[in-house]
Amino acid sequence: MNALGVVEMMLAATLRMSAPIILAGLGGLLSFRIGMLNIALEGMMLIGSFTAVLVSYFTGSGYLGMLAAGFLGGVLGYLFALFNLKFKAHNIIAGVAVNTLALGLTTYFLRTFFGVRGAFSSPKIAGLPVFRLPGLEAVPVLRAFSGQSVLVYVSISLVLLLHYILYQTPAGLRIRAGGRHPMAVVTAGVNLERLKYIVLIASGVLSGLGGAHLSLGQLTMFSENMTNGRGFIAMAATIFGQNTPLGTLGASLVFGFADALTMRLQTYNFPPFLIQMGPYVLTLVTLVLVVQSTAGRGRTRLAGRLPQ
Amino acid sequence: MRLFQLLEAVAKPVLTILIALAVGTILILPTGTHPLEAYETLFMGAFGSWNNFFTTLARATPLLFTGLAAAFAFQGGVFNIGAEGQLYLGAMAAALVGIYAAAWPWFVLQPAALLAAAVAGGLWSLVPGYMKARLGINEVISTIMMNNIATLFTAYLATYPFKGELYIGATYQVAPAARLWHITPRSALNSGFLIGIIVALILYYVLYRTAFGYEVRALGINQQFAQYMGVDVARRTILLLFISGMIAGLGGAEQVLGVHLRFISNFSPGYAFTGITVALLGRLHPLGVLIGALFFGALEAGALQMETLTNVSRDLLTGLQGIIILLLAAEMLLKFKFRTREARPE
Repeated sequence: MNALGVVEMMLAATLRMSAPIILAGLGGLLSFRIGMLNIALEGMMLIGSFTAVLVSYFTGSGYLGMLAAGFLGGVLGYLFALFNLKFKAHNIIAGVAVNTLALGLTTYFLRTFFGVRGAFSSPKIAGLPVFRLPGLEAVPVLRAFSGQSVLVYVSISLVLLLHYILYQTPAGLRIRAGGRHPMAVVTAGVNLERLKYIVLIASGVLSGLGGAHLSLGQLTMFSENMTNGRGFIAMAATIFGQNTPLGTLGASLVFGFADALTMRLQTYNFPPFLIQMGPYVLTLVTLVLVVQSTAGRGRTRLAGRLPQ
Repeated sequence: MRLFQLLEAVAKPVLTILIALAVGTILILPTGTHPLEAYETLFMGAFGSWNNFFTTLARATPLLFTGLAAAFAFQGGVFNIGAEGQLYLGAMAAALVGIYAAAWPWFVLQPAALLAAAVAGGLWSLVPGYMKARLGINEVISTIMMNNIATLFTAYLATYPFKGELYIGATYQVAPAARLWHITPRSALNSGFLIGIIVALILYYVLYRTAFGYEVRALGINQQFAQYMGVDVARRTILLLFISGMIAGLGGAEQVLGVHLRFISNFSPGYAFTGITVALLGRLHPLGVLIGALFFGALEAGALQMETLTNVSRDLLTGLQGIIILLLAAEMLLKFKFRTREARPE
């Protein structure tokens, strides 16, 4: 294979691997901005992966699977919000609970409904629809942007949409202020609690969609604990991306590239573990650098101090 | 008075467990097995014979360590989500000492392997400890990152430089002199359980009978007040995480020296996260943690038998565990007050 072909393949793989991280990462950054550390992304993604496969198997429609995944992710987001805001659970412990619940239920139902342990795949599971961009089909390298699953395009569009919402609309201002100066927001007459519900439900929907891309966009199967820490990678991406939508996009592409590289190098028997450690190490280094470069200024809060 | 306090402390965990079991009945129904039959099998699997009871204790052992690690850090107001990583580092350290210092006699080798595990776990948690105390970086984020790094790093070590004779990513077996003692040859129960109980007793003494323990608990209740009291918050936080990491590291050593006899990559099915549940169930009290660990050990041992004899998968347990944490975490649910007294932060 020539060099251009390799670049094109890597680009396509990077886009494919990044999409779930982008989607869940956007959910994480919205939560973080409004002052909630959301470690439940992992569980919300996992429920999304499972629901997508379940619904696609029984209806034969990838679209329905995707919608159901977003819906159930949203339900889990609501549950997370309810326990955090109404029942005053500590948000980290509630996050651990959601992750455990999601792992338990998906594994248990996999066993109970499909009678398998480990992984479930079937020709009856329809994957996500693929979009072709005819204009790019003839261009080498850029061809990689065509023929991706619908959620790849959705994820990149959502980055732009959220960038607009966060920085150009009153709702975005309230979300950004909600994490830093909650009293000011409440004093201005905003129903901050309701906004938090909306944000956490949205983070659930986004993570659920990310999960759907894992099980229907990259492959058409579900396996036990399929997300395997991708929710935490998404969290890392938001921190590495400085909690901005464009930064999160960039970080997710870097982490997606690391994923793609791991798979490629594995064929040459290169240890995958060291590359897979990259995102986490980069995130820790970012945290330290950001704190040191902004010490004493208001931005330190974004660097991972408890957002409450 | 003491009786009322005890009732208050016990009421919420007990009710939580009952609710979780009730939800479990609903989940069992679609399998076609009668829920009562499933629960009976589960109970017999945990307590039906000496061997089953030993399995219960063996399954409780790692949870005792991770539960104590979580509870001790929580008592000081630190969220050590990183016990999983500290456990992996401890396990790897114990394995390396047990393999490469094989010539030492058991009374040197065993303590050396355990000590190496504790130090490795402690050092690993120094990174988030330092980042929190000196830079103000949230320990939840840093320990989650450190967990993933630890899992991957130890998997790398077990698959490349220290790979043993097996096809999977695992080291060689540790020397016989390094192995913990087993109560029966067939059971996984080993002297690590006793070490866990000793650690629980020491923690109880430290937390409730020493000035250091008082400072730790003061930190957990009100950090500012502790600071006014003269507690060096930064140094205490680092020490707190170091000790918590040591306990988790010992938990890893128990699994290597007592159960698997070698380091196997990804051997932990999330012991640290179950440990958080155990800590909450035990109300962060070392003796409560012991009870919580025994409870979860019994559930796990019972679930193995339930899966073999009925249609109900043992993964039911993980689901129930999620419900238990969710209910325990909710301060505004299942509140009990048997007598009036002013509100006290937990």
